[in-house]
Amino acid sequence: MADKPFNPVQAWQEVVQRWEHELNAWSGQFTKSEEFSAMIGQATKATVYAQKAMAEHTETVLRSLNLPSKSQIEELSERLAVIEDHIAQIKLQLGDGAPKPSGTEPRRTRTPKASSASDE
Amino acid sequence: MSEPLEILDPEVISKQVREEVDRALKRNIKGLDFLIADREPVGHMPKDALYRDGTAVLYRYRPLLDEIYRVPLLVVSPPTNRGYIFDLAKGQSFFEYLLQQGYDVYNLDWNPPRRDERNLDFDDYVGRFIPTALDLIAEQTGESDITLAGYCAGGTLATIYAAMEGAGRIRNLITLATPVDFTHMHLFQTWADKRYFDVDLLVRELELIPPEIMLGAFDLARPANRTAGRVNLWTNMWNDEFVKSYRMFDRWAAETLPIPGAYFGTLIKDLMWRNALVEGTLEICGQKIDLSRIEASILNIVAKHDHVVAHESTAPLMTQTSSQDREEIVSKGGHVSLVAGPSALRRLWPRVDEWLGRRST
Repeated sequence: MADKPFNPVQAWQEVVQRWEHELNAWSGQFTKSEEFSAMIGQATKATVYAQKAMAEHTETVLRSLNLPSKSQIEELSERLAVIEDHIAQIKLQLGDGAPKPSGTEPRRTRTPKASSASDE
Repeated sequence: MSEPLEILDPEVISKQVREEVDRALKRNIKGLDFLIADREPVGHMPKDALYRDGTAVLYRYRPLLDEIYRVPLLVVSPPTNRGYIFDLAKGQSFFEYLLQQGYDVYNLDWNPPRRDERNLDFDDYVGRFIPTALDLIAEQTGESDITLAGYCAGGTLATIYAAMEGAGRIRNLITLATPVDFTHMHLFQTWADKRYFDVDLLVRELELIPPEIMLGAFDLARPANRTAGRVNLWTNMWNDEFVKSYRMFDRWAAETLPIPGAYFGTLIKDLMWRNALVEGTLEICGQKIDLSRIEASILNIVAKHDHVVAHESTAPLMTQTSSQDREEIVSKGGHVSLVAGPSALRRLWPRVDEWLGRRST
């Protein structure tokens, strides 16, 4: 047989590919089950509650230290975003950044190449 | 099987050892570069913002040719993802390809929604952002016809809009990996199983649904992908093109956007649980959405190995619409391979051009 010589890197890649395929296939089966639905539903709920409890606790600690909390920084950030948004809208309305069609606009007369139109 | 004599051939072994030592050195040097490098730049085609309304931004990509097709093209990005996936890098950019073929390309893209946009719903995405974008494009181009396209959930929004408008200005509808029949979204169906998934709790407590909530489901469905990807990255660390491509896709995946709670609630309750788009019970802006009102020419593009959007979930586009001109392309590859990467450039996009060129004059 005229096979290629053994290539350890290629062999390694093939092992990784096979492992990836097999683990994904197994997981694909598992994620179709009702057990998965129940588990992920509970896990999502638990994550939300845990995040909320952690956020509230951290906020209390930060407030007692007279430091801004994440929600206060987020609030500031959102206000800035609103201001940026309004500036962008004003700029667009003033025509800054939104080019209107002009003499330099391309002609809208293009037709497809004859070969590609043949099988319509 | 390999010949034992070949395995032991000293010259072959010596050559392989030299190559491997060279690659190992490059891996180590480039591996360090990889760890300290800035984010890979993405989105290289020049564009102008025409409209901005909170999360929604409409871009026009600057035409490359002096003569372009009459009918402009609006591509709707999925609300969970950045639109630069359509313009990832030179030589593998969907938008660059379309511009080179002479299309006038617009993109309705999304910024991360702010907390005060938590109540944005399908009514806003379909009933406000899309028609506003269409009005502006019509005003700028002077054209009454348009090709509306969308990728993934962006395709779902485009489809709903096309059904809402009926016979109107949508001349062509192009859907890329677009879920319509949500009973075939198997992973999401089990993930958001009505019996166990408390969507109201998520919407109430989180207001904006963070991407981790959904990405977790993807990771569970394909748990080996991340690790195998890292292993492949290390193996190919000597290959600059591979590393660049990996970093661009990695950045895109890491920059998945949160979505407004109200939108998420409708997505889960109406589309996922009630399959309302196919059942004809979905209401947008007080109007029942009926897929049979779509009369535009349809090009439905699906990926053969898409583990997110199964082929079956796109089927109603080909069966429930009233269009007399429907075509489907099943492309090799996975979900993202339709809109980015060198293989789409070679195989898929020329077919899109062939279809769309004839319908854009």
